Amino acid sequence: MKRIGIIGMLWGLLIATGFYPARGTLGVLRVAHHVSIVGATSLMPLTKRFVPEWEQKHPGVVVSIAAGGSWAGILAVTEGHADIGMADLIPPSRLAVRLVGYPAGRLAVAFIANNKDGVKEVSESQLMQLLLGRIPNWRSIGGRDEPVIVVSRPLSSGARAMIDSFLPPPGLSADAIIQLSNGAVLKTVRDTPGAIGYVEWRPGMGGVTMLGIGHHAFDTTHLATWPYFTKPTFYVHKRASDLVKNLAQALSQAPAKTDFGIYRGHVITPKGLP
Amino acid sequence: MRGIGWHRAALAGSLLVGIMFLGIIADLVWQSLGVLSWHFLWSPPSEMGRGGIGPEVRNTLVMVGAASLISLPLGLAGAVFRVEYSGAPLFVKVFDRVRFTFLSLPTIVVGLLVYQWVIVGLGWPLSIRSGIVALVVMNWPFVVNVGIEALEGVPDTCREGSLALGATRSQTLRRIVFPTALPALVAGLGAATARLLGESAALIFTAGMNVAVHWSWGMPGETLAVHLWYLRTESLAPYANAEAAGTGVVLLAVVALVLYLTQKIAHWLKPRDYSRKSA
Amino acid sequence: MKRQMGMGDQCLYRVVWVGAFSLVVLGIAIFAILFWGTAKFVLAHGLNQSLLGLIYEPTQGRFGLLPFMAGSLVVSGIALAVAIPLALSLAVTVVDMTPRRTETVRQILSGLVAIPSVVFGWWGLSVVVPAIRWISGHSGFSLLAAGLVLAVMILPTLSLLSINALTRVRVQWVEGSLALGATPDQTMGRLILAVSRFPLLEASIIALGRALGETMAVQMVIGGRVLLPHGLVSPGATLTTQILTDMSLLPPGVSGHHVLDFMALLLLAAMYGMVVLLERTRRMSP
Repeated sequence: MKRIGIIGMLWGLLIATGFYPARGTLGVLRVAHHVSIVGATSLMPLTKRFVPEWEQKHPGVVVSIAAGGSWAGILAVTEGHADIGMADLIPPSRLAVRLVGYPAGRLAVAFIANNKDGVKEVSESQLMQLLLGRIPNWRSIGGRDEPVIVVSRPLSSGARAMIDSFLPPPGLSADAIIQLSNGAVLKTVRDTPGAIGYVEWRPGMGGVTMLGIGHHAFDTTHLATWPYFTKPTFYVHKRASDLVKNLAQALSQAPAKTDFGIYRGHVITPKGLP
Repeated sequence: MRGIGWHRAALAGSLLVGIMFLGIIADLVWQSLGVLSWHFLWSPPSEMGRGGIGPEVRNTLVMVGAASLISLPLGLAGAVFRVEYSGAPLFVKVFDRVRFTFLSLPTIVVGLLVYQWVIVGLGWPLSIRSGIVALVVMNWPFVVNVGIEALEGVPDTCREGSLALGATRSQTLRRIVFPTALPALVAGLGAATARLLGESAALIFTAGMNVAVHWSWGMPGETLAVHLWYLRTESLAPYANAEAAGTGVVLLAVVALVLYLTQKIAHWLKPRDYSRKSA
Repeated sequence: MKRQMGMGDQCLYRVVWVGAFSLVVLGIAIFAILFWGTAKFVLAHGLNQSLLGLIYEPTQGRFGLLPFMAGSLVVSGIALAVAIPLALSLAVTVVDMTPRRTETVRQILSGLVAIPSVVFGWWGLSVVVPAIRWISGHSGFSLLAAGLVLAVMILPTLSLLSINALTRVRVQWVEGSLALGATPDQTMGRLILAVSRFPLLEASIIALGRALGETMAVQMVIGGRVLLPHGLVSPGATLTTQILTDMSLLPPGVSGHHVLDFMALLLLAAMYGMVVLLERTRRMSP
């Protein structure tokens, strides 16, 4: 029995060390507000960077951030499961009436190809044919003899919604490889000869060929003239508290957003977006 | 010697298996060498530069610790009932089928169900406590199984002897059955904990994929296994691949430590003089 | 008996009864919830567009699940086909060792069983996918990659169970066979493996269950393509990876959410089938 007692104590100690950081829990009981943010992975880095600053200025408020995709963000806010939804797609009007959006600017969608494909520029119709899966080999548009492999995001992604909206039905090739996030698409295209994909561009993305489309070259210093982009927006419920609205607004105007590829666009005709 | 051709082929196969596993682990350690440091162990992850896995280590320990603690009595109760009382034959049959099916239920299904019940039904945030619920649901049938195997390892003669001497059921259980079954129980619980440490599918949609600045039960709680997945597939951080390997090494080290300690404790708990006499 | 129980016994009995009963209730509740969701889904969309469909376009109301069922089956099939010979050869080698060494191998294997599946996924992405890309000229993300990763993942479990099965064969039988002039190979093939065929079958079923239920390691290397796979090196998806992919597209409350329940129910049904099969094999083994 003595041994069991000792083991019990050891086990207890082990658990106690596990719970050690949980001292903070007591503090949380005194926290007045808990704000939760859910949504697009493309806005996660910005939010993660900015929220601590905001928390400093608002003692007693705790913010939690979780990914899940644009669509999940919008639904979570309309259903009341989260306070702020990050999304880069336009919510359907039946949901939009319940929401207030704080647009952050624009996020360029770059079309990327593997460096071995041998193609640096395609026309807009060639791009469409590539994404529709109707060009089987890069050779036919002047590249190397590599089969075209389309890499895409799942339907819950805002970037995918933007792509699907400018392609004719049936939309993006069903033969595509699906990766769950921006980063995964970039890595897959970088490592797979023959691959073509699209990413929401942010500084630091490299190792792939940024395709020029038609007469537009993808130039990171002149993003404002690039016609393919999404509009990342922080959505809150209409009846949200002032605190939540304040955070959403502060996030949408965070000065750090240019570090993550979000820029103010000039008025040009966007592709695919109303 | 004649007729050992198949044995030679088997030996070659075994060597292949050995080399493969050594290769996997050596590759993991090799790729992690660039990032493994105290800084990596303590500091929070970063999207821009050299980050760490401090909060992930903490979340993993807290969530797995709490989930084991909660599922232990739940599982043991089921095991004691099944072995010591058992009840009607029909109930035993249903109980066994439910427990084996539940045990082999894919963890993503557990994640889906806990998401439906806890996140949507109860309105909890993607958080450490939702993650703990998922881990408990996952671990419960495993602990029942471990308990049943440990209790069935106790020979019936022990129970009969104790009952014949006038002890009650609960006294027999407390004084005779549990102490005898304890080594097997501890070893089994070690395996259960190791399984929880490596879980990721059930946690992605219940505990979330990031860590928060402040700590609370309502905060998103990314664990080591989820972080490895995130780094290797999605992250664009400059050292993501090396950090993924580093996270894997730390995760393997924690798993190995848990297994080693529970094995040691189980060995230490074995009633030595008793086994020597019976041997 | 029950009338003679004292206060402590009564209490204990009630507590453990509640514990056991609640496990059964939770298990049945899981089934009921998934079944209810599936029923709603089938009533709304019919079977032709779901279970028997080939096209999966959830936003267009087409929920063909055949590609994922095929993916799950093919991937677990590859895993078993690769893992069984390797596990058997390990078991055959280990049985002839001294008990002490056998114990060491067992300990190592039970340590390897605990390796988290994401670690195998990591290995798949760094080794298996590039290797298949290099050999086949395709993208490398494929059913074959997923099958190989699963094969390595289930190998420790399968080997451990196979070793347990083979060491249970009586020493006297083996000695008798060798004394009668059978070669070690003949003894192994006609005696040891023949006697332990049911425990080996049991081991394979358990390993199949693990392979079928794995999500993360598969998601990392399979490519997530939703069409019916046309070959082993073509990318695909399984029931588990598709649940993961679509959980954020189809959260509860959205039309079509219950297709996730349907996929989960299919997995649950497969697991239940395996449990029943296990009961049968256990009854047949000596």
